[in-house]
Order: sequence, then C-alpha cells, then structure tokens
Amino acid sequence: MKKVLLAVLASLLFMVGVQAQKHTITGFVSDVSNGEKLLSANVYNSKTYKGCVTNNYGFYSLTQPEGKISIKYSFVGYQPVTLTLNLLSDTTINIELTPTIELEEIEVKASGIQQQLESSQMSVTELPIQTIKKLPVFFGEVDIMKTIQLLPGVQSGNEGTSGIYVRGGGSDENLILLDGVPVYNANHLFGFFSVFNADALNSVTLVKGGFPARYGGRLSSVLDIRMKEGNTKKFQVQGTIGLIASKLTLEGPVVKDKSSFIISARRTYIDVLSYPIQLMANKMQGNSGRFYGGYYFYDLNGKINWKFSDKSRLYLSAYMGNDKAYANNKYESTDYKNSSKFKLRWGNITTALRWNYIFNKKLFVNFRTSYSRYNFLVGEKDDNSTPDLHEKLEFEYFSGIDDLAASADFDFIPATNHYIRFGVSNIYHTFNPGVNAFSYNNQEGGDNTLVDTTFGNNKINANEIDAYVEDDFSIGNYIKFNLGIHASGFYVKNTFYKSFQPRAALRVIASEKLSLKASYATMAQYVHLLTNTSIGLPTDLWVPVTDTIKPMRSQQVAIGSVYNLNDMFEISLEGYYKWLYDVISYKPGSSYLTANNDWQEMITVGNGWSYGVELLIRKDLGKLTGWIGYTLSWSWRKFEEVSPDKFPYHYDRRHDISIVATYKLSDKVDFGATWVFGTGAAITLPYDKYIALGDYTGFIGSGGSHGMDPYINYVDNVQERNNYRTPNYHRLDLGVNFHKKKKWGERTWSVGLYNAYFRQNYFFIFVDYDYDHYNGTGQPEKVLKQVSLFPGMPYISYSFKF
Amino acid sequence: MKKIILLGVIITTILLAGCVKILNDELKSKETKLVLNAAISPDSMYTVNVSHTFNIFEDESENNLPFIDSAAVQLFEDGSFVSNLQNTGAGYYINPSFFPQTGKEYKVEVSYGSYPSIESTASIPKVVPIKNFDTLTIQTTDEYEGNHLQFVGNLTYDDPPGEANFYQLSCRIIYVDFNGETHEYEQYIRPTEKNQRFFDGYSIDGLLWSDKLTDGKEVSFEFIYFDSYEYGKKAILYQEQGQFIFYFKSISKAYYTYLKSMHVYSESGGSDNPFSEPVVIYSNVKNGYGIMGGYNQDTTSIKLILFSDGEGGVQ
Repeated sequence: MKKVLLAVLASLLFMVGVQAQKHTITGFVSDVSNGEKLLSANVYNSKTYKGCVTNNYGFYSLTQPEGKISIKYSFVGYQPVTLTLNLLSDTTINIELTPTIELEEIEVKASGIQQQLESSQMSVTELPIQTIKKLPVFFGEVDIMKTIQLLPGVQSGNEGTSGIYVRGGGSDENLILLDGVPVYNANHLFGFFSVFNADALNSVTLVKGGFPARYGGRLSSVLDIRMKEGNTKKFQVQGTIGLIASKLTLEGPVVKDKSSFIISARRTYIDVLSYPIQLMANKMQGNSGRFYGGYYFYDLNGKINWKFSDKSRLYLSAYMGNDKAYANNKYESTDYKNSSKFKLRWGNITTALRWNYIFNKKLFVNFRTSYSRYNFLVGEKDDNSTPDLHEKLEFEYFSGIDDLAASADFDFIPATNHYIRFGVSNIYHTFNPGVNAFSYNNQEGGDNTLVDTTFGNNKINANEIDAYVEDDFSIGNYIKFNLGIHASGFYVKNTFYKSFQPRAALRVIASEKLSLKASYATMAQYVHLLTNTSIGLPTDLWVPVTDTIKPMRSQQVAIGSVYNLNDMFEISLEGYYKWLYDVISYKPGSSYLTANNDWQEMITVGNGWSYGVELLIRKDLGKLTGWIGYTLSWSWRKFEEVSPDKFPYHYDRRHDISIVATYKLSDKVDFGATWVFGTGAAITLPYDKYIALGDYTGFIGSGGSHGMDPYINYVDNVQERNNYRTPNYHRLDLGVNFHKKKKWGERTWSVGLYNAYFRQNYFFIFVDYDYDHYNGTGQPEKVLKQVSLFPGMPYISYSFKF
Repeated sequence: MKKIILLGVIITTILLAGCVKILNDELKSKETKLVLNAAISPDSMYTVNVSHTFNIFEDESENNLPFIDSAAVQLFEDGSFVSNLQNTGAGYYINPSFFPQTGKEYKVEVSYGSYPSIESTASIPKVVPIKNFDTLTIQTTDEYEGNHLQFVGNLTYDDPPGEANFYQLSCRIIYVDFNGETHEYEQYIRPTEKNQRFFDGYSIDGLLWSDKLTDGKEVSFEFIYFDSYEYGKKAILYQEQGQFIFYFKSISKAYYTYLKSMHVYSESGGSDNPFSEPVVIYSNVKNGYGIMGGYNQDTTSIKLILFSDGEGGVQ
C-alpha cells in the first residue's frame, strides 16, 4: 500500500509540471451586502473557461498566463462580475458579489449548472439556505435535514423525523459536520426536528458518493454544514416566532472589515405554554397531588472571527443544544409525603477554533482544534416519608461520547490544472457506553440503610488518526480527475485497525452541454450507533469498534452525467452500486432497550449492498425554481444470525419521488410546495402462527399422556425478515411567504400546511382486535392497524430582519 | 392569559394528534403448511403431534384448534418402514409398542389432504450420566413477597470427548395430596450470578447449554431453585410422596437449536414487543414447521425437609 501511495504522489508531482510565465491571482469571494464568504463560487478565465472554485473559506487561487486576461466571478443567485486586467505579476483580488433579485437568462450561463458540468466530483448537491427557507416547513420550523430528505438517493426515516438514509446506508453512516466538527446526534424532539438553525448557516453540501480523499470516517454520506461568519458590514438582527419555537440571530462587525460575530438562539416553549394548563388541572383536581411535566429544547450557535491580515484569519465557533423532558409529581397528606422527579436530557456541544493562513499564493492552510460532546441522561428521584420512615431513591443512567480533535488541512494550487489537498487529523474519543448510578437511603426507626453504587460499562478511550492527499487535475480541456487516498487508523483496547482507502473520480466533457462522470470510493467507519430502527428516541448509544467487532467498510462505484438544458435546467443522472461490509444489526430477539448491557453480545455482523439510479432535474434561476428527483433503488442485507437468506433493508425503497417548487409571484409574495412519494418501508410481520413444542415434557395440549393442564404454545411464524411493505408514503406540503418592507426592516409571515391532503402515512403497524366486527365464535376479529401522525398540520410563523 | 391557554391547548392537541386506521391487508400466508412436533426418547413410546399453520388473524380459541387427526403418519427406522402411527386425538399419533433407541435414525413422514407432505428425521443421543448431585443452602426467603423455598443445586457430569453434546437440565415436583390426588409441576431453575454466561438460555424448559467450552471435561456447576409458586413447599408438606425430580437430558443438536430459538423468542416477548428484533423459530421439518428432537435422560430425585428456623435439609 505504501508503494501505491508513493506512486500516487509521484504522479501528482509529475503532472504538476513546470509552469512558465504565469502568475497567480489569489483572494476571497464574498457577499457585498454582509461580507459572508461565498463557498464554491466560480472563478475562471472567461475565454478559456479554465478556472477554479472557492474553498470552504471563500479562498481561491488561479494561475494564468501573463498578459491581458478576463476573469469572471460567479455564484448562483449573484450578479457575475468580469474583471479585465493586464496580469504582470502575482496579485490579490478580493471580490464582492451582489445578490440578484432575479436573473435574466443571458446572465446565468456560468451558474451552478456550469459548475456541476465542470466539477470532477459527482453525487454532490449544494443547497442554498435561501431555497431551504422558502419551502413549506413542519410546524413552521425550517429544517435543513428535511430538505435534504427531498434529494434523490436520500430516504427519510419515520414520519416527521429528520434522519437520513443515503443510498441504502444506515443513519449512523452519515458524517454530519458543523464547521468541520462531527455532530453525533442531529435530532431534537425525538427526531422530529434537526439541531441546525437555518438562520445561523451559510451553506449545506451533501456528498453521497465519489467521496474526495479529504473525507473519511463514515460509509454513506458527508453532510458539510458551514455556519455564517457574521455580517462584517453592519449590525443585523433577524428572528422568527413560530408555533413551536422562536429564534433570534444577532450578527455584525466587531471591528469593521476586521472582525465579525454571529450569535443565534432558538428555544421551544410548549413547556411554558402548557404550564398554566397544568396549574389549572391541578387546581381542578382538588386533592393534594400536583403534577407538572414538560418538554423543551434549545440551541445556541455562536461564531466570531478576526482578520489579522489578508493572509491570516482566526475563527472560533460553538454550538450547544439540549433537549429535556421532565415530569414532577408531588403528593402530600397528613401522614404521607411523596415527591418523584423524572428527567430525560440529551444534547450536543461542539466547539472549533480554526486558523486560516495563506502561506503563499499557492498554499492555503487551515489548522483546527475542536471539541465535541454528545451525552444522554435519564434520571429518577423518589422521596417518600411517613412519620416512621424516610426513603430516598435516586437512579441515573447516562451515556455519551467526547471527542478532542486537531487537524491541519492544506490547499496547494500549483497550477490552474491542479488543486492538491492534503492533511492530517487526530481524534481522541472517549466513549461512555452506559453507566448506571443508583443510590438508596432508608431511615426507618433507628435503622439506616444506605446503598450508593455505580455500575455499567466502563469508559472506553480510543484514538483515531487520518491522513489524506488528493489532486483535482485536468488533462487537456476535456478530462479531469480527482485522485487521492485516505489512510486512517483506530486504536482501541490494545487493538489497532488501519485502512487505506483509494478514491478516484473522472469527468469527461462530452460537449458544451454534457459531461460524463465516474467515481470509485472506499470508506471505513470505526464507530457504531446502537439505536432502535423505528422511533427516533434519543437513547442512541455510540460505541467503538472492539477487538471482536470490526470496523465497517464500504465500496461504491458510480457513473453519471450532467446535462445543461437551455442554460436553465441541470439534468443529472447517476447510477451507483455500493457494498457494505461488517455492518451491524441487533441479533434476533434483542432490543435496543437493553442494549446498554453487554452490547457486544446483542449485535451481529453482516454485509449489505445497494444499487440504483437517481435522476435530478433542477432549476435554480427564474421565478420558478426547484427540482424533481427520482430514485429507483434496491438495498439488501445479509446477516447469518438473522436469516439464511438476504432480505430487504428496512429503508429499501424501490421508488422515491420528490417534487420541490418555489414560485416568486412578486417581491412581496412567494409560494413553496413539495410533494413526495416513496415505496413503503420493509418491516417484519408474522403472517401466520403455529403450535410449538414448548412445554416441559415435550407434549402438547390436553391430549398428552402426562395428564397435565392443557397448554397451547403458539408462536408467530416469522420466516422472512422485512417481509411486509407498509403502504406507500406520499405527502403534499404547501406554504406561502408574505414579505413586507417596513421602516425598521423587513418582516415575513409564513403560513402553510404540512400534509395538505391529510394522507395517513405509516408510523407504526400492529395486529389488534377490531371490536366493531366479531367472528362466528363471538371473538372480535383480528386486523392490522396503522398508527399515523400529523394529518394536515397547519403552521404559521412571523420573521423579521433589520 | 386566556389566549395563551387556548394556544397551549391547540399546540398540545396538534402535537398529540395521531390516528389509527385499520388496514385492509389480509396478510395472506403464502401457503398453509403442516406442523410436526415431537421429542422422542427411549423412555417413551413413539409419539408425534400434527397440526397446521394458521393465519395470524384467525381465532385461536379452543373452538378453533389447528390439530389434524386424519393425517397419514408413517414412521421409519434407519430407512426401514416401521408402522403407521395411530391417531389418539388432539393431533397425537402414537405407536404404543414402539420405543425409539439410541443410535438409530428415525424419520416421520406426514401427508394430509392438499397440504404439502412433510418429513423430519431425528436421532437420540447417548445418555450422559449424572456423576454427582448435591443441594446446598436450603432455606426459605422473603426476598420477594411471601415465604419461598430456595436452594442451590450442584450437578457434576463427564462430557463425552470428541463429539458435540447438548444438554438440558430441568426440574419437576410431584406430590400426592391428602385427597390422594397427584400433582405435577414444572419448576424454574436458573443459573447463579457467576455462571450465567455458561448457559444459552433458561426457562420453564430448564437450563440449556452445549459443550463448546467443556468438550471432554468433567463439568460441575451450580444452579438456583426458587419456589415461585410455593409448590415446592407443598411437596415438603406432603413429604411422604413429595419429591423434586431433576432431569438431566442429553439432547440432539436440532432440539437444542430449536429450544435456544424458543428461549430467545420468549425472552424477546415475540411480536407483542415492537422494540425487539423478530425471531425465527428453528425448524427441522422439511416443507413444514416444527421440530422432531431426540433426547436421552438421567434423573435424580430428592426429598427435602424444612426446619422451624427456615433452614432445610435433604431427607
């Protein structure tokens, strides 16, 4: 493998070649209105069309021949700028682009479509935050994860939840990065909302395959979310008041053009609103009992940056979010007092300190240290007292994961036709896979019983190290490669796992309008998520690979094309095949509810594979924007301990359609609509049952010779896993936004309807009795019942900005 | 304030809004199949039970038991036809004069109406004798409500080397009350805290384990008897005829696999528990379901007495 690495490096260096009489233009591209850096903006020679895109910090480096040249800067939703200059030496040009209200067709040639045509990377989708905000939303809460679910190749989880399942992968196989820091639990409110506050975000990029070497650690996708840096021009306030939550974002310069900040907060208030109701209910009850329960979540995003010079900039960003559900009960009588408290809390903290430095015109570096924590806590306190007795009981269960990480990422741009990235990172994980703390104090008469103990799984420390190198390079005008290798190692409990993951992507320009692409990627994953597959409860337990549970691995090949139709529509077609190795599943009969104990005993290891075709027709410009996505896919699993045969994955979805549209009627009114359709989920239901040999003597029922009581032992006959398809899922969401400029700024009323035609979609299915119908023997008939959530949920929210 | 309360009510209603509807899916089985169940041993005449699968929606009351009493059931020993088994009702078929033997292979073929014919084979492993059996710390306990009998048992045996062996240990009490009526009850025994991992399951069917870690060794382990329903105390009360019988069974691999899957199934709560992963019950019946298992057993029995201070001893 070392030889392969050396060969890749040597070929990269060879292909760099020697550039003569050329000079390099470097700089940043940003938004003129607020100074926000524009990521993935196009910078190219308007005659040769050779160029580059800005990196995750808005930085670009473009080497051009000496002399008179025209450089064009463009970004979707912004007026392009063309600069003509006489290039005689290396130079720095920082460009600010102006957001457009509406683009004429002639102006949009070098838009996102062109970028998709040009890029060697495939299976990538960038979603503008503004588009996400225009779409109808669940309970009035803009949710980027729910918008991601509308993309081809991405399946949603259960009704209303924010989980994503990419190309047949599991929910734990997505690397969700917030400013480069992994977020382990992206859910609020049992999965119905994601933790990301759209007001604080700058960009969202999803990578489903053809992973460049800079990404690693998860098998199925990378969701790269970047926070805003804060308005460098002026102080700005925006906020939203919704049915469930409200949020407020403040941003502005600390020192104009040198430093800016952004701070954004969101909190739900159903606990506050329901408190008076509970107060009334307690009063009406009239006895001495009191009950108060509630739930809330909040999150805080903050970021500050400081520009030391054109070459040096420091960023400090942080996210903190928590969910808490609680129930408190009190009862008092003359000779008895009881107080019980229950709490369920989970949350994430991520912080990152980054320093960008431009070493020279061709070398950009980003150093990062970060801390990330996810923890989950459930606790109960019970206090009973009588005149003779005082009993106190406390129980807490907590689990979590802490990461301390450091990394260095280099962008080296030696020539226009080469963009080399390389870097290293190290993550020190501390896994806390389930600890129980129990204390009991009983004072009865003169006796005192005291128990105070902690038990459960011990902490596990692990170290993960990664290194990568990749080169995005062109050969001639038509062919572009992205070749690289990602190497990773994981040390846990005296076991060291290592992995070398080659990555390759190819783009061929077939015509001015059409490019063809192909990619290959291998990935490795050293952490597993033990979670229930049905409901988005927060009891998720992150555990590392061990000496017996190997790392998960995947390989994926994809081919595809991008077609530019009339400079208006991007038509992207991709086919993929993905193999998953050593993925985990619960053993038959196991339950995630008991997974905290001896979790290794409860899981089994197997393989999976998925394949499919994805079509995306996307229009980003004009009054009507949106996309149509269609996925035809198959996803299989094979676990020897579960079934002798392959079986469809729970999220196997043969057909998946998303139609997403926004229409701007005027500056004051815009509409949004989404319609989704998906083949039903694959779940396991017993179709029949039979009598089992279950009793002590090996005989059955009253006919046995042993004279024992009649006893019939029925068992459900589950011969195939995931043998039943739930009804197809479909749903229409509608929304409209009313904008109005006010003296103080701008306000927006958003109203809409989630699940507009009241479709009762599957949430849970079970066998039960129908008490309206009885069979011949007078027994109620057994039927299959489906529980649905959220039929026709209206929403309204009020947003302001000044 | 009223508006706030009203808003709270609306939001709570919305959050809790959900609905249940009946699906028209009939969950039709691909095919109704025959089920054969038998556990054969040299101690018992050859007996099998025949029934059929039935739809999950069907009535499972006593009026609708799925036993089949008119099937053709043929018994073969080492490939040679032995006899047709005679129906005795409730799905049972027997040959009252035929007792299976160790080391021979038995096959049963069942055909009935338009059902696909089924067959299964089984053999009986050699008996593994109990080398030593002891009871320790016999006492009554009020650990749970009531006053229960509890003791620790110890079993020792020599595992036959060079072959895969599978075992089951179970307990049963028999006593005759003052009216002369005989009572038999299966009793729960369970592993101790220390040796839980040694076993693959424990239930009313007893402790279940294999020799994968103990091939060819002398094996000795402790287990706990706990008198949940206080039948054990009754057995002591009627001590003249009351006894605890321990069955140490050497069982066939198929029977072991089946019992293990049944244990996992019952532990998981079956399909009544939506949070557990589904369990496939092992079957060795070709074209159908069920199990034909073989076992051979050594037994031991004890009589216990209880002293007034709650301690006990072996009579």
